[in-house]
Amino acid sequence: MAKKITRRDFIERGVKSTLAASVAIHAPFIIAKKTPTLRVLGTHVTLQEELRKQAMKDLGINIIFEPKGSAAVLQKAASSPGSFDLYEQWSDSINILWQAKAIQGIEVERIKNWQEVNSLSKTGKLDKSLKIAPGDSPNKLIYVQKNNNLGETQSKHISFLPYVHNVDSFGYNTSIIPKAEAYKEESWSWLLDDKYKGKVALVNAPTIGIFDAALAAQASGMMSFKDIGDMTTDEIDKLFVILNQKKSQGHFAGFWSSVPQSVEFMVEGRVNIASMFSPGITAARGKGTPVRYAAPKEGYRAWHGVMCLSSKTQGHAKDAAYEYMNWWLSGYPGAFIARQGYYISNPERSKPLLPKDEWAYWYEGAVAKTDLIGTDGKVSVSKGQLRNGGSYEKRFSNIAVWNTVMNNYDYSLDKWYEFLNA
Amino acid sequence: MNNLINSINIGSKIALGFLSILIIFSVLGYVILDSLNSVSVRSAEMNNVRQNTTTILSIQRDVSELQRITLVYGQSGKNAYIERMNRITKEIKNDLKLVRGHISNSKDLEIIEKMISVIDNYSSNIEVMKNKFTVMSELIDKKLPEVISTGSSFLQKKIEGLEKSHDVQATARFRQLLELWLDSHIKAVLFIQQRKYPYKKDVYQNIEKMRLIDSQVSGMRFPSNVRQMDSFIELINRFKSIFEESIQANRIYLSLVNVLMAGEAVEFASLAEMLASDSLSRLDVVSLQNEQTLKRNNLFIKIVVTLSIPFILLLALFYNWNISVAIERITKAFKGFYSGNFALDVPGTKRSDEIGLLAQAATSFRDISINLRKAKEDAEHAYKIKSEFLANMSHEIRTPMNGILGMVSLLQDTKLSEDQRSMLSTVADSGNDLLNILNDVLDLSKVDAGKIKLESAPFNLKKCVEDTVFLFRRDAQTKGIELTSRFTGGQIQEELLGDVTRLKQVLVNLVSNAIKFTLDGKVELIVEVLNQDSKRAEINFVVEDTGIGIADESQDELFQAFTQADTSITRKFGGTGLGLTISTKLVVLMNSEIKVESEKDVGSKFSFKVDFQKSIMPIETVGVEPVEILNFESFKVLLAEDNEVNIMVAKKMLARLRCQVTIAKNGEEAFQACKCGKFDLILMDMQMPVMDGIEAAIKIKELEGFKDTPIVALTANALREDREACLNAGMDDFITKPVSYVSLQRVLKNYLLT
Repeated sequence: MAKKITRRDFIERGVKSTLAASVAIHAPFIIAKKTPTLRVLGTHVTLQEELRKQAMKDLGINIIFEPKGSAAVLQKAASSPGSFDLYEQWSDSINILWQAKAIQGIEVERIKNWQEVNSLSKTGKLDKSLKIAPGDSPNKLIYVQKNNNLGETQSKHISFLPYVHNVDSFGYNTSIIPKAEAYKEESWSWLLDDKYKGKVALVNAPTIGIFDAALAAQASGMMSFKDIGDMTTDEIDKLFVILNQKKSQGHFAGFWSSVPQSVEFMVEGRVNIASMFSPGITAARGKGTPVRYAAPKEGYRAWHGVMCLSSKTQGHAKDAAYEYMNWWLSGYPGAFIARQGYYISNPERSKPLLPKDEWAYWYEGAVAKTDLIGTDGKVSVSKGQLRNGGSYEKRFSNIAVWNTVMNNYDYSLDKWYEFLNA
Repeated sequence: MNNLINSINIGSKIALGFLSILIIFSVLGYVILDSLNSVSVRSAEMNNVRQNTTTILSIQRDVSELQRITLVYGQSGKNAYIERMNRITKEIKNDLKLVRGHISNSKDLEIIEKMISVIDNYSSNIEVMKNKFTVMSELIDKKLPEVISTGSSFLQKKIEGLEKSHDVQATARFRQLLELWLDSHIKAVLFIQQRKYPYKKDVYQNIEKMRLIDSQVSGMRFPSNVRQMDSFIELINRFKSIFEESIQANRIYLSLVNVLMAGEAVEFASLAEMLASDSLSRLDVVSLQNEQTLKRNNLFIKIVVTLSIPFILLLALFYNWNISVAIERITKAFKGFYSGNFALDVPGTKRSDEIGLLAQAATSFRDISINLRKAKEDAEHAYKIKSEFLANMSHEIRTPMNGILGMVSLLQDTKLSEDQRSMLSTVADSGNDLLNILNDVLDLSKVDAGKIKLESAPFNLKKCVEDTVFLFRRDAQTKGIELTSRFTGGQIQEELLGDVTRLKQVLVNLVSNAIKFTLDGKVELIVEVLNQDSKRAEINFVVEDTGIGIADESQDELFQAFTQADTSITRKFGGTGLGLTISTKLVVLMNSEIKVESEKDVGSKFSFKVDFQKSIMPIETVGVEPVEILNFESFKVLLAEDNEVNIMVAKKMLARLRCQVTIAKNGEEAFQACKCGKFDLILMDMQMPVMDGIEAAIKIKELEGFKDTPIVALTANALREDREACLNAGMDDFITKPVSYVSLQRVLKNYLLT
């Protein structure tokens, strides 16, 4: 990614080199006034260099980003809480991390803009009239209950800071697959459609990929689920019989483990249709591949980002972690992340920081009046485009399932293995 | 263009031609080499691709093996498997690096880099996996059984203690607890093994139940030997904690092995497959390219060959047209010039190459030839005029000579004194010499003017030879030399066909010369019959003498006109010196040549071979006719002659033969005389004023009563065409001038007495 060197960058570099020089001369003094370093473990989705630089500048702390694929991140966080201070991923990590005691409760009091956080993460829906979708809606996981379990009863401690969230579906290359109408024609069933055999990819994460596959199987009429957010072992067995058969027929071109990989798959033409995340769509478009993020008639797979505090983080690092968490709800990151299609839990604070057009496009589902630039500095939305699926409210009113660690998650792990090796 | 082509010299043209052919072959050679080269390069590339594909397939097998071992390790936890996995990943990495070394294609390199990165991740996860496994098995195999066993023995002791104190209700509670405790263990193990949520749910329900029972029994008072329940709630919590940790460890382990590592393995396999299929498709592309290159080159070769064949043909045609044909045309022109056809144009004179030079040379040759021909024609014309002049002169001189000699002949029959007779004899001799000279000059002129044609009439060779020798017998006797003739090689029985007059002329000349140049010794005429059959006979005539001989250096000049070996010879021996020249030319007319062998002061030998046809008539033995005086008194003869001398001579001779003579001065007079009178024989001179002999003869023959009257021509021209002209005009015979008494008598006898 070629970045323009701004005047500010230039001045900063000058300051840094001066600092480096003073470090050499006044080493002991510097050690005494050591800047706290915050280690953030997460995925490429939110661990972006622009954000790190901005946060370091705004907060005056050192931040180390360790971006990895979602499974690797979870795996590392759950087993080595000492290796990070903050963990950023999706809500499906919460049960695992919480049960593994890898994370500690976050004090609501120390979250400055907590009152601004909207109802989605607090109640599981944006509007009271809506039904709560199946699976782990954020409200079910956020509050630390008296018995130290997680639940929806409000409390002073939360297991994660609600921040970015979005609805996911699949992306498809419109130069190969004709553009279809949102909510009417676009369907999860496409993922298992023989038309796209050999050109389909799923995300290699059972807590996510299993829902894309389950929604596809259900949409194509191959099976149905009593509660898609809590599948029985029989349902899982049946689902994987379908999937394994498809896999052995060469239906899947790959299983991506990180967003850049999903972009690569799409841009290189390895796949024409794949379960994707919003930044992946933006990046692929930035690279010139016309990928449309489907608005499936069956509804989206929603997810909620979680920012968790390591159970081992204390003292200055913990303070820095709170500063960073507060920074995330301070407006800029929400505005930044909007450009890759993500929503922030307190959008009103980001609204003034976004040009009206951009806000209208990203949040209100309005037609882009100009070319919009993505987080990577490239045009990600051309003038005249409409965000598929409509406004924030419209999109979050169409949730088929939340990313979930189901009761039979452990069981699905074995099935997933079978699927990968089918 | 044509000018440009014709200004280049032939050498350069040929060089250019060869150069263009060389270029064609070079191009062909290059293309063929290119084909071979591309085939070899591509086959090397194909080998490379094949080798890589094989290595990739082996890597894929290794990865499957890794996945298999991972599963086995999950069952047994033996370190040997870890080592094996490490060894295999190391091998895979090495193989990948090997493949990378053979790849130049950027897309494939990218895939290889991805594969390397995937396998790096995978191999770094092997150690992690081992750690996770250890943690997991520590919990599941050690800590969980430990807490269970601790709890069990705790409850067992409680129960034992309570049984002793006979607290039935409490015992029942604790038995229930123990049952739940053991059931929890079973369900926990089942969940960890089968990972089915109901088992986990059972465990949690058991835990809730146990907590409830615990709270129920916590208020009870127990005997001193029974420990407080506080410890058991701790155990329950510990169990729950270990169970959850176990689940977590299990999840972590499974998400590593089943998701992360399996995903990496799948991705690795996908990449390997992409690489393999890419390699295969590249193999196809390479062989397609190969095929295309070969096809293209083949097409090119075909085109070049197809184009170059006509080109080379055109080149050959060009050379043929531009060089061969041009030279041929010039050669043709030369040939034409040789044969006297100067009207032909010389092609290519405007060219500036060698052909142009040649054409210009031909043109020059033509111009020179034209000049030469003109010069030659002029010379020939002059020569002819000279010959005609000589012939006319001789003729004109001979006529008066006839008169002189005729008169001398008549005078000798008159009464003369001795002195007068002697003087008259000298006049006669001189006159005869002069006549001979004139005849020679006339003959030579005739031969040169091509006016002599040999006749082919039967003659007796023996008589001819005898006549010749007889002619010189007196001369030989006078000089005191021996003159002989002899036949060798057989006798000729038949008459031969030939011009005996001319043959005799040659023999007479040779014998005459021999006698002339022989002072003593002998002259021999040898007739050598070389071979003969019924139709022809080849005769070699040899005249051999013992005379003064001829020096070698003079022999070449011998046959040229007006030349004698030594001018002094003419003075010493007399004669015109034309005799041998005439003889030579006559022999040439007989298709032969006179050969001479001579040695000075020893003698000479002249010879010539003639091939005669034989006449069908046998030789008549002619008896020697007795000389008789005939009387033609009763016959009237008309003599048409314009020359007074000739008239006088003829009148005298005819008077001696006693015939009645009428004289006509020209043809017209002769014709008029015939119209008025009747004649028995007419002697008609050929050349006369007013009307010549031929015309007069024709007219006379047309007169009534003259049809059978013999007309005998008198002519100085003894040539055959003269005789033919006479006969064609209806004349019956002819006498060569000067008219001799003998010939006149013969004619009269022939036509009047028979």
